[in-house]
Amino acid sequence: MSARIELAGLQKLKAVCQRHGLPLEILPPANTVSGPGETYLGQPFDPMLSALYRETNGAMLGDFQTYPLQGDENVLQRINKGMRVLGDEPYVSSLLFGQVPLLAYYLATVPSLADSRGLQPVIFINGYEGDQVLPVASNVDEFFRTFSIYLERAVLEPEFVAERRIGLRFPESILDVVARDRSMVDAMSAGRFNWLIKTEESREWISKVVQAVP
Amino acid sequence: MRVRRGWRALSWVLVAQLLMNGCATVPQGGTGGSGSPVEQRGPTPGSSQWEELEEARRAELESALAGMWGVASEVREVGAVLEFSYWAEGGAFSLLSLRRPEWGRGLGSVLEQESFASGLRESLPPYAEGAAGLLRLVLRREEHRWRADFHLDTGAEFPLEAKTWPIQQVGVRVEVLERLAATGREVASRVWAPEGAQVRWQVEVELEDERVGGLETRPPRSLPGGKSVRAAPETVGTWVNVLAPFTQGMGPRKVRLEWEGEHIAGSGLSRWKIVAAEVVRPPPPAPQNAEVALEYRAMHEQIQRQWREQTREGFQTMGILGAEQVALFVVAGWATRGLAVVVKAATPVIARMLTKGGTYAVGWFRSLFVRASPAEKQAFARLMAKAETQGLEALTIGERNEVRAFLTRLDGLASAKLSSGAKDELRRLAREDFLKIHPDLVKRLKELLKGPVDVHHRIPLDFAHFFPARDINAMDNLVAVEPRVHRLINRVWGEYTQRAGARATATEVEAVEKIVKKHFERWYSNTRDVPASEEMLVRSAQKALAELESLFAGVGR
Repeated sequence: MSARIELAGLQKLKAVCQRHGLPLEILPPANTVSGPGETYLGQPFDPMLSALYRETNGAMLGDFQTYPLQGDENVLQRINKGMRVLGDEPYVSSLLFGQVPLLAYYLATVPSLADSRGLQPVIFINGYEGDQVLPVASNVDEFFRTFSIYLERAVLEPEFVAERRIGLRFPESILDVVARDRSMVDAMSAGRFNWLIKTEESREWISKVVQAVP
Repeated sequence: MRVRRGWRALSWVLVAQLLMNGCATVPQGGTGGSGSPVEQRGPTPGSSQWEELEEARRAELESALAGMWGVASEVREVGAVLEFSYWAEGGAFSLLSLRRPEWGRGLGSVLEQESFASGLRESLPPYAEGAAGLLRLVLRREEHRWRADFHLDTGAEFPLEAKTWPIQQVGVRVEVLERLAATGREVASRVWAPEGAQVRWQVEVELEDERVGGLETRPPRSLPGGKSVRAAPETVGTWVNVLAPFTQGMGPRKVRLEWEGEHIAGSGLSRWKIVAAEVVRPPPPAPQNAEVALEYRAMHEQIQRQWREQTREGFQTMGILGAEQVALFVVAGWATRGLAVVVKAATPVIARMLTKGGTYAVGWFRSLFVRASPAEKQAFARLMAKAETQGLEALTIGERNEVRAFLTRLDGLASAKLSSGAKDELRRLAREDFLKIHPDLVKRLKELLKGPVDVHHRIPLDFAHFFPARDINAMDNLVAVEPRVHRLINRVWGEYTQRAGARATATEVEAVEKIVKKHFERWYSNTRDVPASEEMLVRSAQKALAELESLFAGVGR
């Protein structure tokens, strides 16, 4: 299945990085990648992540970096195991696959919320704010597409124009984009993320996204 | 240690585009340095930016030639010597002094401006486009021409009022000339010479950027008696010609001029000639503010450069200035530009921090400024742009009240809990600063980890309001750790936040920071123990959480 998955969002994200001279670094693909649905750290591996790692074993995509899956050390595994050592959520039920460079802003898939095709939704975890969870995309490629729109907006901001510094907030600044992700909004409305939601900000986020549906 | 943001990295093409659209972005405070040779302040010869400034360099050369001619055209005495001193840098000429050490005698032929300028036009540029320095240009009047000698002293100390970038504007703007003429008329009405005698008067005029301020005239210590004769009307033109080139410098300063007046035989008027003119600089900043003053000067020069090159209509709507520039403006301007007088009483925290001055105060103010709303920040930046280009005195009463109200509100924010937006902005600034200060450490850690590194605030942003006088983004509050370590540290803080709730105190926060430090410091910006062993991570987290529990037990919670 993963061989047939085309990551159009990822291609768009790369193109946006190239157009605006943002960091773009693509490592060669991983040799051994878990197949879709295969167990990885005790949970099914997302088919789109599988496709991603068949394309690149770690990448810098503007203001987002993915964790390498292989090498001298398996960073993806090391980070996820390390995050779970105290056995608390959202880390035990998700798989962190990347982050905003140098910040405790992590992106993770949630295996238990996979759709009928096995595609897992993506959540944003704010490690500074009590591991606050904000659902951002119905699948990994949709996240890449959403993030490419975020970058296109960020480069128009004064911070970027003057200092080439990304100052725009993620995901708050692309709430309207998340609201157009129909599957995501349906999952939010159905309360499928409720068990991961612990903070008032997370509840507000979901409520605003649902209300912003065009 | 504070980050110094180099404006060289910025795109002036983008700035120019913004200006065309009615707003401007000004680059971050730049690099500086006292004395010379100094680190490069302007574009490097041969770079594309240097090429783009060719027109500006040409304009500088023509301005300098016109300024010299303004003085030299009135000197026909053969053997007369005029000595001009410029700071020459990046193709820009800043007049520092002029003298007439030899008066000459007998009149030479009348010369045309072009015959004066053509030779100099060829020989001057190499002195201005190489190493920066003090350029002495000695002009000796001969019968049919002026002979020029040059000397460049690259070891001279950099004068703060000098330009380091060329400005694409030939001559002096009309409003500046009008103001000079008005001041010249005032001078002419004050000075006088005794009938049949020669006297020397000293005149001092205040300048700030291009603006002409107060005037002081000092007569000679002893004036011969007799009838006094007033200055001839053409004295005003001579005055304007001498002073005009001095208005093209930067910042506050004075020009001290010595004029010799002589009764014109058979008339009731006196003729006045320039003997010497030199820039008098304000006292240097206090040592703790020396670096800030240089950074501010570099930023101010860039704003002035845009201001002088653009039409006023295009510039009036400018206002997008970053937090770094605003902080430099406020800290540098606190004592020297009268900002303290405007707002001191209403801003106790800001007043205390800014009176201390220094680069820490700049960082502190920046970290405070970003807490304001985007609309407030933009409104303040617009006022700052006006003050930077037209002087603080150009602000209306309403605008001064606006400045006071904003800074008063900001003062309150120093002790208020940070909004999530402000925290996000501070985190993003912290990572940029950390990368700039510790690029090698971050690179090495990434290599060792084969993956990402996080920047951690030792006193978390959630508790910044307990420490209003501390720059929460200062380097002593930031460390690099791998995400797993960061996660566990955040878990300890999360536990404290949850348990303490609204009863959290500064003392407790400091105690928790000590606990965290005790158990996780081995991984703070450290390349030795990475990646951390999972066992050690668990042990550290468990011990820290247990100690936190004891802390709560100690305070009866």
